[in-house]
Amino acid sequence: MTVQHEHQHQSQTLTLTHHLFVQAAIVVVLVALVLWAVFFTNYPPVHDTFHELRHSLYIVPCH
Amino acid sequence: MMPKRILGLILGIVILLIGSSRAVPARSELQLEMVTSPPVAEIVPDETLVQTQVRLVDGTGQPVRGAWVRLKVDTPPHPRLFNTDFPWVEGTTLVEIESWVEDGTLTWDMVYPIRGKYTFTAEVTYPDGRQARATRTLTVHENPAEVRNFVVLIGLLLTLGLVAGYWIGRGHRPALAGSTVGGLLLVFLLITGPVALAHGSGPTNTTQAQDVIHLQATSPEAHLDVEVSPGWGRVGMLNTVRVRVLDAAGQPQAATVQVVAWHLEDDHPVYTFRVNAPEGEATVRLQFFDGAPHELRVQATPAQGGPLDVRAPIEVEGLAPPTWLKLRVLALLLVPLVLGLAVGIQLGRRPVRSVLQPTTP
Repeated sequence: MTVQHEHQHQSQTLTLTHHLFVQAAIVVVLVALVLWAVFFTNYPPVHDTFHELRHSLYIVPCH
Repeated sequence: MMPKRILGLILGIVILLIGSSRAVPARSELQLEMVTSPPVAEIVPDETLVQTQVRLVDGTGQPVRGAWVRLKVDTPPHPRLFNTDFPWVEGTTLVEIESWVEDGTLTWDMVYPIRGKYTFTAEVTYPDGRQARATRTLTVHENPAEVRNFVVLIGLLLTLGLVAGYWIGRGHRPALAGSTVGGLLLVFLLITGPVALAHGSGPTNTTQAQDVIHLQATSPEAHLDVEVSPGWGRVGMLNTVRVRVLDAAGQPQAATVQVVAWHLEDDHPVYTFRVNAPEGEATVRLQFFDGAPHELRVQATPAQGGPLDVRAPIEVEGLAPPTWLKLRVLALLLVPLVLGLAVGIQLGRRPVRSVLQPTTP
């Protein structure tokens, strides 16, 4: 019974994660994370690495 | 009838008085003419060192000769949607110069930090106490390379959205495990600290910096005294540079004063002011708009004696953009991605027709 319940739970999770909108949302979140890390993080090594890039992209604020 | 006539007479007198008072405005008899080198169209924000000359012309069309001038330069206000890369500089005062003007012109070199409409306000005080005020604007356009880069970025995000959307629409599900691991790694990069020293060094603790810097230089004929307040810089804030030139007896003496703010990392000046100080005193206020180390260089050439120089390093604190602004820009950047995703998914869900598929007659 317990094994069957776990199996149902796993398949529900897989169904959810395979849902079209969830997939699209994951893409958006991942890209947002990348953009945030590159353009907006205050973590000094990353911030300094992309300093010139921020200043060359019109609306991306730096400091 | 009589009361109406009296009322009309009074009304006429009032209108006449108002009209005559408008005819001699004490403060509109000043005009500002501006010349820049290079021309305005060639100015690149945060790059070009621009010689800016303001010509002060009185009501008769003649240059203002022999008067005290206080000139203020305000940066463009906050843009409604598309902010600049120096958000803390938007809507602030960039420069204030107080100088005695002999030939009707005020000339200095300056890097304009951001695009937009700068406002120049001049207040003239004549020796007889009369005052006049005038305002003029100057619009600096964005660096074309920045606009082009931004369009490329938007194109890339749109394309990424299209490809990902098409992939998803076709039923190919991205590997969630890999995505999750990648996401967690990126979250690590989001650790926020006390910012934002974009250039590696700067006053992380501004209390260590001096509140006021005093600089002095002396020759047999003259003495130079410079006060910089505060003795450190912050993006968006004005620093005051007061210069006094004395003779050997300790009395103020006439001099010409040059104040230079030198960007140490880029190794070029961001401001160069040349100010007349007929009474031995000059004041310049300037904003260090880049969070990087600078050097302030002051040279005074007194009426008697050779030039005197002093220098002082100025640490400038960079400030991270406000979080709401970061989120707004992020949202703007995600718009093309989401649009691309939506279109891509629709394209991916369309049935694919094979050209080899036989058609029914």
